[in-house]
Amino acid sequence: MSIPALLGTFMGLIFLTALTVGVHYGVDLGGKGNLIAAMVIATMKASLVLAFFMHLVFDKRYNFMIFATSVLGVVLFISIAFTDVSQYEPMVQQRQADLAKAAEK
Amino acid sequence: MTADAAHIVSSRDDTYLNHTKGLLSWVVTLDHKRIGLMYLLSTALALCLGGVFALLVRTELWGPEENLMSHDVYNQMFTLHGAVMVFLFIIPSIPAAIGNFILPIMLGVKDVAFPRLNLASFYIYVVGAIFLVTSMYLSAIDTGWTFYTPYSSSAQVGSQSAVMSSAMGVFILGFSSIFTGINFIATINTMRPKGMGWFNMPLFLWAVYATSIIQVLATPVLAITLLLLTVERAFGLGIFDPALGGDPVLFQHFFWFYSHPAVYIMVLPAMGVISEVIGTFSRKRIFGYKFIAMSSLAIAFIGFLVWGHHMFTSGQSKLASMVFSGLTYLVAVPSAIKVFNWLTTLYKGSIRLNAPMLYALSFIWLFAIGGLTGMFLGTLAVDVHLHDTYFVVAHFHYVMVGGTVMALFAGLYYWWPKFFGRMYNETIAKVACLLVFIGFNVTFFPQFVMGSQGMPRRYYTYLEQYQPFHQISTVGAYILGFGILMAFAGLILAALKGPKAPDNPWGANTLEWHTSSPPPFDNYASQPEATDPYDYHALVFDEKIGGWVKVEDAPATGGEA
Amino acid sequence: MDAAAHESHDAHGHDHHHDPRLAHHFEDHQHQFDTGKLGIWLFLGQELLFFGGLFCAYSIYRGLHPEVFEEGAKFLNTNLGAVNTVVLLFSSLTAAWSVRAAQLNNKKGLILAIVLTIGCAFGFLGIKYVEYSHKLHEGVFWGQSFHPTREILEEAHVTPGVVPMPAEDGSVDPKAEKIAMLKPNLHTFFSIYFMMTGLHGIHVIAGILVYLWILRRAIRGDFNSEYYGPVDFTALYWHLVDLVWIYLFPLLYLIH
Ligand SMILES: [Cu+2]
Repeated sequence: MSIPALLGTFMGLIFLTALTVGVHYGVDLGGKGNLIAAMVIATMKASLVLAFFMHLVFDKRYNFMIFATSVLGVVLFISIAFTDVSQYEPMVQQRQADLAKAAEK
Repeated sequence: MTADAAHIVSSRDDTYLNHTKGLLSWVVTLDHKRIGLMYLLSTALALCLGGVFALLVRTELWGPEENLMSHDVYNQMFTLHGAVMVFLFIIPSIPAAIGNFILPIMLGVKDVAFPRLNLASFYIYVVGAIFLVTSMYLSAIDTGWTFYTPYSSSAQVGSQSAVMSSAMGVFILGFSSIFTGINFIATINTMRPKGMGWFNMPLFLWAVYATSIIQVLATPVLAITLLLLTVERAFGLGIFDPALGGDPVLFQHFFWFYSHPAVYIMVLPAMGVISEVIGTFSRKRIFGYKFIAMSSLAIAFIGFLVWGHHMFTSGQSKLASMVFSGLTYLVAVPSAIKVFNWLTTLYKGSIRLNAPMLYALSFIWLFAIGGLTGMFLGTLAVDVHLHDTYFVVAHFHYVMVGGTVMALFAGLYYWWPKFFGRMYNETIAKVACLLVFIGFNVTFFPQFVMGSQGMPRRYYTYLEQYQPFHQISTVGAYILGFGILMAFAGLILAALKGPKAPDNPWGANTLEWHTSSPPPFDNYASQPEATDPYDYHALVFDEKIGGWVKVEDAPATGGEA
Repeated sequence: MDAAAHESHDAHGHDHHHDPRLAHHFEDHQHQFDTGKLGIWLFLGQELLFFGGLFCAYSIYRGLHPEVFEEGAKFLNTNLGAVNTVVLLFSSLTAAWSVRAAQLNNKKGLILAIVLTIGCAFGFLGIKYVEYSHKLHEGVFWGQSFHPTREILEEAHVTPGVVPMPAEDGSVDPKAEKIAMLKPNLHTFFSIYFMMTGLHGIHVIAGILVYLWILRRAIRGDFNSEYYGPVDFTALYWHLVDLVWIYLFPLLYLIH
């Protein structure tokens, strides 16, 4: 990789780091809004690292596919587990409330 | 005899077995064949160890009262049986033992992509095994092989330190499995011989490839699960322990995200073995090659989407249970595709009932029963009744023992002449197969019946009405144990005293049969060109050497039989 | 494999290679490099799933109890986290640079880049040590050992509330001034924080060890434009460690 490409990627990463810290301190988008902003910036940083530092743009397609499949696996795992837990969480809350009530008596 | 045949005979003098000598040359070997055999030895030992635990459990269950051991020891015995069988035997057995030996030779290469990693993975396995077995001396783990929280994270009796050492053992074993998977994927991807496109690969390679994908993608989640469990146990982390605000159902999500796909780590390579054996002994081009190949991948991918079917009664939400139940049926499709294609291959084939074929046919029979009873368990309403009963025990033993162990022996008898250059005794092998088949069914079929009548699994005692089933099952277990010992005896006898095997005793056309038996140290002087793996007409039987040779190398007088 | 290679095999058997760095089962350096690269990507794939478990636990607990995470993050020092991010990003730059140097046969550049990378890795761990020791000193542990001291609760500006403030010695007197409203299960945040950063830290340490080995080989002059696989693969691993941190930083330190 050429020196400008290396330094350019690095400067981009630093800029995005400054941006995400800046947004954290300076902009209030609500809990979820700030989380989304932070994640979008983090994903931009990750893409820079993957594309240039890890030279996925110049590399064999297959290596990218491995990485994409792994990301897919993580997303699958988190989303399904998250969906289920958030579905049964009200039952857990209910049970805890009942227990607390019973304890008061 | 042609020049080619002469070359093969002469190369017999220098095989991988006698290329270097001494214990050290085995311990530090980078040769995939020797590593495969070391895996074979250790997994066979694990099978025997797990088998002893199984027989102890079955003996204790002869009657509802205490026969042999206290209930605490009983809990430890069934846990050790499960943990040893799953993590030390089934998962590494076919891919790491047979796969290691056969895969590079099938590809016509000298070794797997990363030989050092291969050896490392073996020693990681050994270290993991030591951790796991050490737990026996630390009052032995009694949580069941599934390590469910909160019992495993907070129980103050029985399993205290053993949970940690066992969990660390399985954590370590996981990396052995991951490294094997990485090695095989890299080898198959980059080292196929000239003329072997993806769709000219032997089906065993497809099966191992699909297995490796699961090993690489699922096993790390098991690793992090057990790491969390160990830290939870040691430092009171509170991720899974409800007493600290953790979520024990989340542990089950973590555990089954690996452990359901792990079922396919166990059975996919077995299916690969069966695909090779069925084709060869039917002397007929395997039917539906692409469907069998693609169904391996389909099983691997769908296998990642169904883990929640182990959690229908755990407190999992209705939504998730419904989705998981539906997806579970989907797995039946690629599995059935395989079975139908094997059966269709048999149709109008010229079938030879040698021992490997008998094991393979038993596999199809038992796997079909195991698979179909899985449908009952995947049905939400029925599962509520059957969950945690002997029905489940029988179901997964039909898949894991009836499936994987049968295929393991099919594969071992099939490739044994290649491993050691010696033929086995057909009678011993066939009688052993019969004993295993009968013993297996006698052991596990009654378990379906008592399970459906409500006998819960893992219980130390039971109501009188279940006693006949338990006793039949125990008798069967001893027959099964004896059959397995006999099958091993047949193999050991063959390796030591068997008559010399020809290079290609079965007339199979995958590449491993085109090198000598046993293979030379480097497998091939240079990478051969790919053959059509299922073109059996390319070979004819040569009576002089008692094996099959290429048509063009056959003696002119012999002609095609 | 082309015909010429076939012939050379046949002529010399298996020991026709003169380069000991080329394993006997590969055709040429390119083949070996591509295979190694595939292997390291597979390894990175499994690393992703390995960390994935922790990210899963994180998302579930944060999704269900965001207030715990908001409060927990107040205990973390955002400035130190940001500095550490920059340190790690710089080490990624030098790691990428080391690959470039190896490709260009620039031995001095290679050694310098590796030394800088290792230096940054130690810097990262140093800052991490400062953070950890501060927390552990103030009783901010994981799970059941979470007994924060009065100082750190005040320092973190935890919301005033109805739960009594713990005394100097950590004991809780119900009649004491009620200023600190500790969210129930606040310790879960620190369980996750210590697991994630701890596991990441272990990966940093592993990276240092591998880089020390690469450094030794670089000084010995093993690498050149034809053979530089190990430099490239270690750099890939190092970038992954960076990648995980890129997400850990906003997820743990930048919670609104
Ligand atoms: Cu399952």
